[in-house]
Amino acid sequence: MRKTTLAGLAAAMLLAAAGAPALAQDRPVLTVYTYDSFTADWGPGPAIEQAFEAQCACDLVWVGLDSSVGILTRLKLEGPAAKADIALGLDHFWSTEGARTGLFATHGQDTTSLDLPGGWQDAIFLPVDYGFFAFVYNKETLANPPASLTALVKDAKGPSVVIQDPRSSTPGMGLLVWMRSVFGEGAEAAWKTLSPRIVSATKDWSEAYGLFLEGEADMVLSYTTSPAYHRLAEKDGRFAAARFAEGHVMQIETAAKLKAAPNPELADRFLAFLLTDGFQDKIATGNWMYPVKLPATGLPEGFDAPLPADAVRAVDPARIDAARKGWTEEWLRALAR
Amino acid sequence: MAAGARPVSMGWRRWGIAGWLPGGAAALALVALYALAVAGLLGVAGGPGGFDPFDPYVLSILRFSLIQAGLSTLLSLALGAPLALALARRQFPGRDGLIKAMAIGFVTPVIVAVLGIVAVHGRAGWLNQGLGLIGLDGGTYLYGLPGILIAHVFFNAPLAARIFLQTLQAQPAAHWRLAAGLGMPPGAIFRLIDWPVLRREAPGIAALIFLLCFTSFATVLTLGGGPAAQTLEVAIYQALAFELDFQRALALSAVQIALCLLLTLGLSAFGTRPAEIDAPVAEIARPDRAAPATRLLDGVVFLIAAVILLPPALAILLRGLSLQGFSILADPNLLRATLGSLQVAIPAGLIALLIGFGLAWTARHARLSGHPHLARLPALIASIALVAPPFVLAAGLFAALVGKANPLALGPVLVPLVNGIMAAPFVFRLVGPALDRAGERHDRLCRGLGIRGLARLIWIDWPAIRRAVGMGLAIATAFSLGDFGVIALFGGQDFTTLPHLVYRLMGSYRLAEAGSTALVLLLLIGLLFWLLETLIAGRRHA
Amino acid sequence: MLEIIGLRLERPDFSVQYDMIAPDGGFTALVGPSGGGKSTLIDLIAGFLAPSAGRIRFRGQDMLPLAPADRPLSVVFQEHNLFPHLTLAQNLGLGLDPALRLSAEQRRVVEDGLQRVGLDGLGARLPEEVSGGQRQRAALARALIRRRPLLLLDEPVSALDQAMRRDMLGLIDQLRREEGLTVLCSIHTPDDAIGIADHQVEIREGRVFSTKS
Repeated sequence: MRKTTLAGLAAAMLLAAAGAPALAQDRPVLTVYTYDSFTADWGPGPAIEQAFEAQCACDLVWVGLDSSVGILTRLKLEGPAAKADIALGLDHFWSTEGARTGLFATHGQDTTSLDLPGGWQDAIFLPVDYGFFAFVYNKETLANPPASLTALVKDAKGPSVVIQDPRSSTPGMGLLVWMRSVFGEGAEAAWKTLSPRIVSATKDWSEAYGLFLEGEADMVLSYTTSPAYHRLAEKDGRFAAARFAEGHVMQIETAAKLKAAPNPELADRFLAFLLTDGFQDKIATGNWMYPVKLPATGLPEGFDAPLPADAVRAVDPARIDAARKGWTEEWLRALAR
Repeated sequence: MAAGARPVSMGWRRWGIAGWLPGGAAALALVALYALAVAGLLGVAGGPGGFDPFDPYVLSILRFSLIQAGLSTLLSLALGAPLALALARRQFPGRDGLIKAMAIGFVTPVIVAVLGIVAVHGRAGWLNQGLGLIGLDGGTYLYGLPGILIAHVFFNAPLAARIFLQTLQAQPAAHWRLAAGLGMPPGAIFRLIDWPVLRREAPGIAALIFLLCFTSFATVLTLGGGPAAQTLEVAIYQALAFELDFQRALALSAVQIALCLLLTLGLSAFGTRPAEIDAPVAEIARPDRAAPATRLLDGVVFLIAAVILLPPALAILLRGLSLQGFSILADPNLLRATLGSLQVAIPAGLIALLIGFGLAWTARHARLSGHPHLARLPALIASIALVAPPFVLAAGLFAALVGKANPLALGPVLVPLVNGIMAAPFVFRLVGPALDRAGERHDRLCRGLGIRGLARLIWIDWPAIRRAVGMGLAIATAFSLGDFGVIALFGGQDFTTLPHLVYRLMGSYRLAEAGSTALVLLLLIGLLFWLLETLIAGRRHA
Repeated sequence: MLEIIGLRLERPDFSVQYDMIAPDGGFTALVGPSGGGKSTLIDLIAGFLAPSAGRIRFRGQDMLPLAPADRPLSVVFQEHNLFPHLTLAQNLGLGLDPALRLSAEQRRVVEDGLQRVGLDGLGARLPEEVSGGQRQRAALARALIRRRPLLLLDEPVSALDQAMRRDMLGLIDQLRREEGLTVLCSIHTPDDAIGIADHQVEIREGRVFSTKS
């Protein structure tokens, strides 16, 4: 090969090596597995890292995995050899499955005085934030949104929707649970009725939301807090979340300590930190979800209050875990033409 | 024979090892890695479970996979062949650049291209907007089979055109002079010169495109629209990443590999040889250029191709060029992601080159040393690398190695490795024919003079194959730059690539920045392409 | 006769100028070193290249305005004269109808042509199935059946061994006499043309260096 080629390749390799991760420091390291958008610069991650490092004299290292379910997958693959101290951002629908892996330890935190609708019983998984699933739409293009899930499903001339695949996306699974909760055994038929108006069932939330913003569908399955993002961060008041009469299903994100955590005391301190203002006041405008413990400053200006208790549909995670596979197959059958 | 000369047979023995070693090593490495991955997954899953491959859902996915891949292949060839003919006939400024750009379409990251396609064909896309102006409504035709076909044609028709073009231009100049001297009309030129070439190359190109479409992942995920339109690859990914059903993933992988191997073997019965890329360009103009019939035909073909292929490309450009989007240029994440991308892509490209070239070298050696049936083995192994799901390989290797190494360090090693393996088949198909041609020309000379191994590679083969090597390295590296699948399993904040960054930006509503990052990614791919092709391939060429 | 008058071709990297005469019905050998300009001259006469200046006349008729297929000539190259996927008979047939739609009469002419060059019975073979010498003879046969008065050959025997070279040149000469062709043949080994060529033109550095009869 010519000299220039070799030189070029050598330069490229040097460049690549320069991008290698930073060397470890002397302070103890807390490794937290979470999902990507949490750790991104525009997410809550950096501010939380700063707040915790200020009080712990340690180095908080995020490991961003591609999704909430991905965290569990990764931990299952790694098994007891995992170097993680904390898993943050596990959807509570997966709690039973998570407990079954035997990888997590009890959190030992007091969860009696949380501002979480329905309270919290689980000893292993600690809730950190929550949200309500809802169909979001553009007020300018959809003047009369359906008032209930039943209305959305039954109206053949109703709005088109983009949803997520329940196998890969927690909102997708949330909708599956929602449909089952409202229609019971009639869920499969309901899905069939809705099917022609489902533009796409995407792999994850970001794709579905992107399609919605592109104008590909009238409504997108998202959270009640999505319009708040557009209002507060983009000064765009066109979006709203449809309130359904049957009530909305909640998503609760949790954190847990790994049994094989390299730094168990640090992990415990982090778990305690999760329920303090230092963490909770970053959630609203960082993650666009509701804090499980309202910070002293309350919710930001313009952020809608959480749904009242009577607008929430309670679901049992244990039951979901048992029925998940069957419900998914039902969904597949209904949608496969 | 001159007195004192070494008898040829001694040189031949040593020649043997130099011939078998590269391919043998590559093949062994691949087999070992796959075996390790399977063992790793089985270890976590706790043994092979019962899995019924004839579950009706699986059968329906199989059926859909075959249908969409078959249609995509037919359509890509149907557009690619006439386009190649039109390009072969016409000369115009920018022709070289256009032909190079066509290769880039093949390595464009799927997430980027799909956004462009949605911008054009979606419900609120340009096409519907245009139709709306005259009172029609195309409706939502994109999600499902139509969208998948559009995307596949977008990716593969330019590739088919480029491969066809190279073989069409490989005709000796004398043939064109003959055609001119005999006064061959355009119809006869097509019938007697072009068509035999197209017919000969088509099965090889079809096999490649079919396999690519059959194992298509991100396109189907986004444009498929739901469970009705899914491929096996998607089902494997679902099983692995989200249902945590490793047995199912392994079983489906086995089905996919078996099926694709069968298809490859079946198509190879048509006497396919891997499509040639590195071919000399005829200097003399084709005599059918001037005929009004061909002018009209070529014009129509260019128009159709432009209508199908250009708008999504334009949409991608426009989306990326917004003021809000440019803010990402100041973000340090962009630099980190770029370095990460290079950190993955360059080793991946080199690994792909090592494996692909090694296999091609041994395949040629088998053919030249009188064992042509053995030459099929490297080709088969290259095909397996093409159709084996990368997720299974990555996750399996991870599971197997996680106890023995720091899991956080495994990602930066596994991602380039898996990407390299995925791209190796392309290097094989690009470098193989060039190596074969050089071999046919010089084999007797080399054997007679005892030139073998590394000396042969550097002094005899290199000038003939350097262009193919350059293009192979460029494609393998560009592929890995744009890959999102494997990095999704291992990426994180510290270890991130450009496609990864695009997804994360999209995940935080920052679509404009995502678009600009996608543009940066495309520019990087273009730059890398140009750099590698020019540096390694040498002179500029079409 | 073939008259080349002031035929010039200017290119960025080289320029050539030819002035020569080939006698009518004669065998003119073009000799000279490789890269000297023999092939360029033949390309110009055949019409594959357009000259910058000068004239080409055959039997008084100006050839420049004519397209290659309309000029009263046939060309045989050093190699690649035959299309590899067509049989010898089909390749010859192209000389009669470039679209290969032959009448029974034309097919007989093809058979006849094969016979005259000693390839009878081999019409159904593919080019790769016959030897190099036989391929060149087939190309010669095709030129023959076109019945053009001027025959250009660009190193037609360079790829053959010595015995075959003499045979081939002898065959060309025999056909020339039988048909009254004017033959212009570039050759790398002038000795092979001794006794066959009655006129020799030496081309060096893109110019006519000397002529001999």
